[in-house]
Amino acid sequence: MSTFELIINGKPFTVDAEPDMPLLWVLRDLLRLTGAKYSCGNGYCGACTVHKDGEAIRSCVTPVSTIGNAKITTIEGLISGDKLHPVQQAWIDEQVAQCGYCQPGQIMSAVALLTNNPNPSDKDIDDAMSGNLCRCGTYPRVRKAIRSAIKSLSTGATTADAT
Amino acid sequence: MSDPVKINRRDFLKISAGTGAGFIIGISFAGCDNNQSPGAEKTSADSFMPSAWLSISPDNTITIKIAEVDMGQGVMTALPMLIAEELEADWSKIKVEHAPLEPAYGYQVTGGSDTIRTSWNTLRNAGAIAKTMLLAAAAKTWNVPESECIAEQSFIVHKPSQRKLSYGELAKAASSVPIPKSVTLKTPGQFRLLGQSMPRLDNLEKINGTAVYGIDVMLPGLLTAAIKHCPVFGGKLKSVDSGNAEKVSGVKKVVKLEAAVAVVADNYWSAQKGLQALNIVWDKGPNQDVSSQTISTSLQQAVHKNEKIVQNKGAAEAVINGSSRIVEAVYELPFQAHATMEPMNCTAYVKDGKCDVWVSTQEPSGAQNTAFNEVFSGLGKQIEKLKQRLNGGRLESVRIHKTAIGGGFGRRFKSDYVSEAIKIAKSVDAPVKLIWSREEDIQHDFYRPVTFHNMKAALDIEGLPAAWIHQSAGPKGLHGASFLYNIENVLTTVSSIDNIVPLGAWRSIHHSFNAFAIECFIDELAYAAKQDPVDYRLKLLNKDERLKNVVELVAEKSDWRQPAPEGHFRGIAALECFGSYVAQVAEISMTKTDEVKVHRVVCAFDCGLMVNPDTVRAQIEGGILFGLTAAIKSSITIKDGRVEQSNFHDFQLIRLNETPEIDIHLVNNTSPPGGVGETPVPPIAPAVANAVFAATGKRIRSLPVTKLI
Repeated sequence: MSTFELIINGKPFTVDAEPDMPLLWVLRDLLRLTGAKYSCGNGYCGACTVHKDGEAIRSCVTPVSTIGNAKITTIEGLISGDKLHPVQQAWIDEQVAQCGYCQPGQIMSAVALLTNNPNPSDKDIDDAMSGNLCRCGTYPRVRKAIRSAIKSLSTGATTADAT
Repeated sequence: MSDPVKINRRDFLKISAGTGAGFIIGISFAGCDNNQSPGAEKTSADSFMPSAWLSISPDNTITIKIAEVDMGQGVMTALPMLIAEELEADWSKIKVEHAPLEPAYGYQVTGGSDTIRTSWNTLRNAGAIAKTMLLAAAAKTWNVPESECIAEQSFIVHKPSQRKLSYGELAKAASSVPIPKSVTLKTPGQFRLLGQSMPRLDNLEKINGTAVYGIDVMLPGLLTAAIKHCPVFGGKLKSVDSGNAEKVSGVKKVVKLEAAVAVVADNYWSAQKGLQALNIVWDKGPNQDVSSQTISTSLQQAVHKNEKIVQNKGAAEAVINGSSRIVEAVYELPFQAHATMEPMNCTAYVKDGKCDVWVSTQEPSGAQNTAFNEVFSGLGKQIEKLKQRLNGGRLESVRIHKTAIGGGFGRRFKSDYVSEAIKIAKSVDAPVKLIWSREEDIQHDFYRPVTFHNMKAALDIEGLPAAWIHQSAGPKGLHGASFLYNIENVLTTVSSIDNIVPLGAWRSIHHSFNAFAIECFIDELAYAAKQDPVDYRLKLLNKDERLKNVVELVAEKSDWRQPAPEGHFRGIAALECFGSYVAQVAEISMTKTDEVKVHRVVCAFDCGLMVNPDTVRAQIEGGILFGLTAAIKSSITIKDGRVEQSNFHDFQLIRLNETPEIDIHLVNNTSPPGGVGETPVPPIAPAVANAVFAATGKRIRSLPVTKLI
């Protein structure tokens, strides 16, 4: 057991964990941030996606000992105040979610894509999003929502009402 | 206005609330056994009916309780719409809650694409009754004739004087109004809400991470369990050496089950590490030689037995025997897994003769029955049942807490993981959350059955089928095939094989495999007759307007009569199921490595009246993609008595980059609502297979398509 100082959603946390414990279970079981989901445990499905210094990572295969000083952002950290992130707003506007289980991971992948590439091509979207599985089949709406978020981000509408 | 609906007063229970809680209408339904013992077996799916409560608080909030579960299909929004329409409620004031497991709601189960169908009249009645009572209360308050009052946007308005009172203000007075003897429901032309695309009410929590699925349940002192089942079906646990597991940090206990071992720990990671440190010896049992090959051989031998005649119209065998134009084909379909994104899990706390269960389930009442049987036995069970009777049917010793559900598709009718969680929880003095790994989820599902289909037809002088024989074989209880094509001589039979693989309902049940055989074979007949597959179907659909209509619509919208883009090929399939009509055209190309790429799917869909058209579209998009995984990506195969696949690397789901353009055309139709969740699934596999034939000249007779090319 070791002690780790983590910065998650802008706040410092101290956790005692085995060094090989994946970040996902640190978030879920130790810090009770359950927005990132367990689904495959092998990095195949993307349900556990969070950001490490803005890059999308699979937290289910990322040992907590590898995080160091990196800033971690989870779905819970996307909202600023009561304002939804424009990508979340796009998800509502396009009525993407069905069961919703994979959606935190989908949204985190989409935000990472648009942060690094504000005007992605269809292929860029395919490449960034094809590692996030959805059994309900929300992919057509994921595509639409990303297109819609690109528009709202480019017109400067950076926030939207959380209600 | 439609004809008045008579109210069976015994079926409605009115609770007047003198405590400021407002006006509550409870509805229970004829045919629903309110006194059903939780320990009792359910007899038939038809005997379970939904029910709901609506309450209006003094602050004008309308709370609607939903006894159906929402696993993504949108009923948390659609069901309140039914009530709000007739109640003339202000939609922004509607709140929705899960109904508790209480007798007034009947047996709670969601499936069979029947939520809207079974709720259509009952929930609209509930809204209309409440409105009628609010009108009466307002008229009495103002001392004016009811005929001068109208209901709109959660207010009763006295038209001549323009006075108005909110539903909240009238709640108390409405509680003392007699329940009306009959109500008149609105006609489709009068709907203001039904047929409008309303945003889902449970959207925000699903995109901000606050939705609580079963796997997200947290309780003080919660422990977590991981489990490993005997990989071979029918095997058992022989012995387990837990020495190393107990040394793993955080591990609390190793629990032996009949055919599984669980490790209980402080958190899931420790539990998994503990599980991996176990030295388990399985008694692999009698099924180690079973494989997909042996199953296939059994199916091929069984199919000719004709154990059960499903349909025998005319003289199909005689006509075929006397024909010189016979077409034959066989089709074989594999097991399929549900692979819900949220793996099976359940949290249980057993203490002081009481049990609390938190679970994502399609069948809360089934989970309660399972829990009851796990917690109580012998005299204890009898005492609990007596207490339940004295309690008006409410089972207070076993409480089911509903959660958000990360996908169902038929898997979550089963309560196997509930049973396991309680067995584990009984051995520790703390609440325990059992989480199955993805590997356990894929390898211990209740699978869509494997089936074999032997098809034979005789063509008449015009090339149309004069006779049709469809023999199918599969595990016991297989549902025979049926269709709406007008063929004079039809023989349909089913035969069974011995089976070791756990089976269950898989989105669209038997339609997924029967429609594949039927729609591929019809296509084969059309080509044998040198006729266009759309024209051929239309000729055979001369007795079913609605199916014929969607076939015509999909042909028009897919440009069927025009050449496909260069290198692209089209295939069609259509059917009726769950009371709705669907036709799909798949447009594909073959890659250089002979893989199928699906570019576009055009879908024409007629489900009668639509409550929330946007969720109808979402279900169609999702149904097509669910079916496409089975059509071109994955299957479950058996070797050495166990499932060969274990995770998403070898049970691959369709991905975003493989998602075709989906072009949906909904038919406006005022027939009573049909099912939506499952109907879009069956046609996609045969539509793709028929398109692959158009592209390659090669018939696809088993799935997924990738296997054959």
